[in-house]
Amino acid sequence: MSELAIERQIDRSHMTISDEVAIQINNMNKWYGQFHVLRDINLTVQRGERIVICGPSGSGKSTLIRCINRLEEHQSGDIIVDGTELTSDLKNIDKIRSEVGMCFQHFNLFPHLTILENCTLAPIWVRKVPRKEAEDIAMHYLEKVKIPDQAHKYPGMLSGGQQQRVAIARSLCMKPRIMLFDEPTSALDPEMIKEVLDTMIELAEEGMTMLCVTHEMGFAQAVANRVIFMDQGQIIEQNEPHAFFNDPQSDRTKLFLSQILGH
Amino acid sequence: MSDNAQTVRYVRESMIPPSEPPLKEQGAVKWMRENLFSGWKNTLLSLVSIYVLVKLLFALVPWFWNSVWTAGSLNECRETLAVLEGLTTHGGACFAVISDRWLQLLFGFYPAESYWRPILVFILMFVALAPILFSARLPKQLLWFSILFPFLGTWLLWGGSFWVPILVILGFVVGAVGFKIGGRFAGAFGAVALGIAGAALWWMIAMPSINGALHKAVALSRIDGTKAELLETLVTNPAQIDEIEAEQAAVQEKINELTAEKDVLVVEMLAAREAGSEPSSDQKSAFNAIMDELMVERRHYTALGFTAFKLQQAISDANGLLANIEALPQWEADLPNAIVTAAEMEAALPDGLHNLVSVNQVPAGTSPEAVDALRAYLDADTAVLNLHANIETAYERLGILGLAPVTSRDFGGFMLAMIIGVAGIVLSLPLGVLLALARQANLPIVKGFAVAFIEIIRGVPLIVWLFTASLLLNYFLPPRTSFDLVLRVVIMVTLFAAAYIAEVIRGGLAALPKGQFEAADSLGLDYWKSMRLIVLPQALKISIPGIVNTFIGLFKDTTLVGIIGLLDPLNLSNSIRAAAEWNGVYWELFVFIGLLFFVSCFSMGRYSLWLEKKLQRGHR
Amino acid sequence: MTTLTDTPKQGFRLSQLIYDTRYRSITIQVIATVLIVAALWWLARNTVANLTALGKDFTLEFLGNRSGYDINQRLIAYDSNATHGRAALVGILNTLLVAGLGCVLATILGVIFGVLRLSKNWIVSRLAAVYVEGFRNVPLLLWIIAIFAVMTESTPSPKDFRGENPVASMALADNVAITNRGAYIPEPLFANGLGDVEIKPGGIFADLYFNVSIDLIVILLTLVASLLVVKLVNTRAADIQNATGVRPTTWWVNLLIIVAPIAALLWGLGFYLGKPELSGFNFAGGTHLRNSLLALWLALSLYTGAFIAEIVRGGINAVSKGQTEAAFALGLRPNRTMRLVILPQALRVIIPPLISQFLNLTKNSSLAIAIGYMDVRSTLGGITVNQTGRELEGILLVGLFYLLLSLAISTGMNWFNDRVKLKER
Repeated sequence: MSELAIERQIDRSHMTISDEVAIQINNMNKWYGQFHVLRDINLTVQRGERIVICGPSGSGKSTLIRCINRLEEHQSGDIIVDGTELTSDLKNIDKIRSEVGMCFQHFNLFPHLTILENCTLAPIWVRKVPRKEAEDIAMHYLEKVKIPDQAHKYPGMLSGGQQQRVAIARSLCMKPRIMLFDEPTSALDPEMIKEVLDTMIELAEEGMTMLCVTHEMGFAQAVANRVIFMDQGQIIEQNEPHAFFNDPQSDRTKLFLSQILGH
Repeated sequence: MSDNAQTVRYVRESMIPPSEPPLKEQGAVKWMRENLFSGWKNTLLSLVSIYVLVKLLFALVPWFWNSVWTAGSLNECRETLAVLEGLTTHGGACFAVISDRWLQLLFGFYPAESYWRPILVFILMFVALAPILFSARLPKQLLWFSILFPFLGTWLLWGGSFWVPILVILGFVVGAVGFKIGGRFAGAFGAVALGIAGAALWWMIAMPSINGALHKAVALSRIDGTKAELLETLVTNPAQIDEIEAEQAAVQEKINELTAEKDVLVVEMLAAREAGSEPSSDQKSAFNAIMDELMVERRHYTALGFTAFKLQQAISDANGLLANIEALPQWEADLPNAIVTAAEMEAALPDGLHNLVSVNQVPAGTSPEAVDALRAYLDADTAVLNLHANIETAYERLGILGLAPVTSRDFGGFMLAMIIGVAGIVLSLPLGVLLALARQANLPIVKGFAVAFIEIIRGVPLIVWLFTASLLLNYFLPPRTSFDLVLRVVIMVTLFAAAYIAEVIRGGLAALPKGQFEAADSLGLDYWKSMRLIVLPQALKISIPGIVNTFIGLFKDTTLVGIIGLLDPLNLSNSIRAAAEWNGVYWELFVFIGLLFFVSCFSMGRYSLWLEKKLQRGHR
Repeated sequence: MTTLTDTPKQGFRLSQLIYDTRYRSITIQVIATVLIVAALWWLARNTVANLTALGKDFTLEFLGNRSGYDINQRLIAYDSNATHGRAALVGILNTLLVAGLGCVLATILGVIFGVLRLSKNWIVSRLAAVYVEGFRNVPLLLWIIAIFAVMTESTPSPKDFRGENPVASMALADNVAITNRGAYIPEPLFANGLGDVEIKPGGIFADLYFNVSIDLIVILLTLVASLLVVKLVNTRAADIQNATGVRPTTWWVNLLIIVAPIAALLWGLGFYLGKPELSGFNFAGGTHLRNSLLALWLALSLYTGAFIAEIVRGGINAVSKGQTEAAFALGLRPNRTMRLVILPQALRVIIPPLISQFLNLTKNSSLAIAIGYMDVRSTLGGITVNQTGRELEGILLVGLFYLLLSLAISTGMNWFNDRVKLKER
């Protein structure tokens, strides 16, 4: 297991999974030029599910979640998010992007804006929320990620862990129904990983639908209800975490787990 | 744990092999759709661009395609266009001007028999640059050649006796010895002071006298032989010139015949065109043949004329030298007396008039007699200086052992642009480094001077500095010193480039991690050692792209020297246009000059870009 | 061993000047100062000696003497009876005119081509690259001379516009005549204009007299007032957005506020365009833009525009791709992303080198001499110097003018940089 064992007691009272489908991906394929990055992906995510996607680098896991909010374009198959099909129609893309929040490996905070402005930018310009209200929402989420006192600083003045928590708060300000995490802790120092993971666990406890690309197996064990292993652009194995870690079926999965867990 | 474990369990049985993207996602169609027509705005942009491109090509391609390369003048170009293609003046380019004058655009008026010298220097320049630009792959010893190259190059270009560059280099050796001795007895300051003093003394006092003595020795050792040779030149050359002139007359005859033949053909062909039919291919090939032959004969004529001119020049040179040889004993006999007379006259001057260089300087209220005495003394002094100069010049001309000297007046074209650009950058590097260090230093006054120098140089346009060089530099130097315009321009350009180089190197110093400075200090190195061994090598390496960019800018700016009368390519194009046969040729010259600049600047720019990328990778 | 109390007792030794870090820097600076002052003194002494040897002195009196030469392009009243100082002023204004026009056009060209070069459209980005590399890698002087040659060699002469079947005709509905002597464009005139006000300072500023059109002042004041109102409207729109979340559409209100008062004013002043008309062998009426001005303006703008295009491209590229992605992921549209996220960051990277390009353009305008444009270097540093023989003073003044201009601009730039620097740890 990861050295970062999750110590706290996790409250699962809100973590119910409804029958409603949040994301539906059917026979999706993607190519970069001639390179076949995603091969025949089929995935159904219920509302309230917490899915961890892992796999070796270059396996297409980041590309997969980036397809979900159209940061990458897929070439065949369907992606349906919240009942809206993702096509090149700008209206659909806008609708989906305002429902789906995303956190990046390198935070991507806007360096020219204060923390508060980072958080209010999208609500004001996309959701047309009055500034005062947007600031209240922002402060609410900043308190949630435990950095309300940094609201008037600039991103450059914050530590990596704090920046990533701001990035999470910034996404939450749009009140998304789905959150995507693209390796949120891999650019962080060990002591900062914990504060970010704690924030993510809290989010899970509130019943957020989450898709998370990460190598934090402790987090997967504690929070996820499904772990997906990808290699060579395809889903190799998926299972609920306990079974996934203790009884992997595929040879590739076994090899990957032995490397990452250091057994 | 989870209520839907059964539904999520999934293991892939067989891997999906990679497949080709669907047809509409690949090939030219996809490329066009993605790159040219991905939306109405993009499509519009593409169509507008294609329209512009087609328009441009339709205007330019025929002009290049129909260009005339063999013709003796713009009129002949037009004639050729008219009879062969039925085109008007602007229907095709007249690149004949380039095939006629390209050597001039490259070398200016540098003597043709010595073209090998600038070419050799150009090649050697790359040899000298190689160890600096590709330090990893070449032996360190090659750096010595890089250091010697400036002296070698200067000698090759300007010519003169072979020992002059050696004497100049010896000045650095003397300086280094002075530095060592000074360092042993008087510390760092003593070292610098003694080093500079030693080199200065060598260059200003020892070198001229050694140089003069060597020239005199060589001249005297072969004076009888020289005299005989010169006398023979006076006898043989006129005869040769007569022969050449006879041959030239014959060639002229031939040219006249060919021209007449061509004129007849032109009339016929134009008549055919007038009648609405294309001239026959026989006529066309006959015309081309005549034009080719005409060009050959014309070249022959020009070459003969050139030889005759050289022979004539040799005669006048020989006359001059013989007169010098005659006069030398008299000059040498007169000199001591003249010196004594001048010294006596100076001693007799009233107080307050010593050290004056002009009668304009006399204080108010000086008696007319005193002014006359001063004037007489100044004349006598000038006479002494003239005698000195005459004797020295005579021996130098008679005793030269090496390459024929070429005056800066004859330098021109791209050669001049290269010389000014390269000399400016190379000479400005040491000064630029010092300025950058001074600007970084923790010494407010020194820093202030450096900042003032850099900002003043950069705040004023180069053209103003060039006018300063051509009009004002003589004011700033001691009275009666004057040196040639190319040298003055090189000095000014060096100072100009130094300010820009200093800023580039400052950037390089700032980009170095602070740890490097601290590590050097902690090793116990003193300031200069840490700079020389640790900091500067790294900072200079990072700065190379910036230095190359500065060079590109400077190289383009060398065209400005035309404005103060030097023969840069653009100014040469004016002088080519001033010749009757090429009056009115603009575009062909602009295209050629522009293309040469473009090729050199673009490739250097790419090099610096490549280097920048490489350095960035190296730093990660 | 030394103890703490030992040091003060030792007193001062001469060698401390060199080896003691406390005194060493002072020693070095004193030596440097002495050497530099000595060098300057040597230069000054040489100059004085050379000047007296030539029977000259150093004075600026010549600026008050009659110039005796004409200047073909002047923004203020000037004739050959005016002083050299006045001629210098005419030159300075001409330099500032071409520099100002050049900076505006170069920025427009640079932004357009910089953005086009980033375009995903292959052919557009290639064409933009050809423009940038073509202009950057060929000497400016060649462009100036070549563009000037196009204008004088391949345009019709005014006499071609004459006769029953003229060879050439005027463009834009007979409003603009492009000839080998320059372009003639309509000039703004006022039927019931308010006249001019004369400004005539005395003393050493006596040469600074000029007339200002009251019409122009009134128009400018109206414009400023309109802009202030627009600013108010925008502030209000922002307030409404802050309060309700929805920003009211303001562009047509703003347009109206700017256009309506000016239009009313122009109507009141009886504004009309005076068309250039052929009379005799030349055009009369209208504004005459000389080829020298047009060629210099175009060449400077195209050349500097190529550099600015690279700066713009670099600035936009400097903003990492992650910024766009983050903005997209938040649901911002590409236009808003550009305006709210990319541009504010790119501008910080772009503006400092942009200003130094403006500086370069201003300095490069001194190449005017190649095509006979009468800028400050051609009047004060050229004809005046030749006529009075005051090389030293003339070139010194020209240099000083450029230096002060550069210093003023770079001071402004530093102030701006300090203001917008990204705040980091």
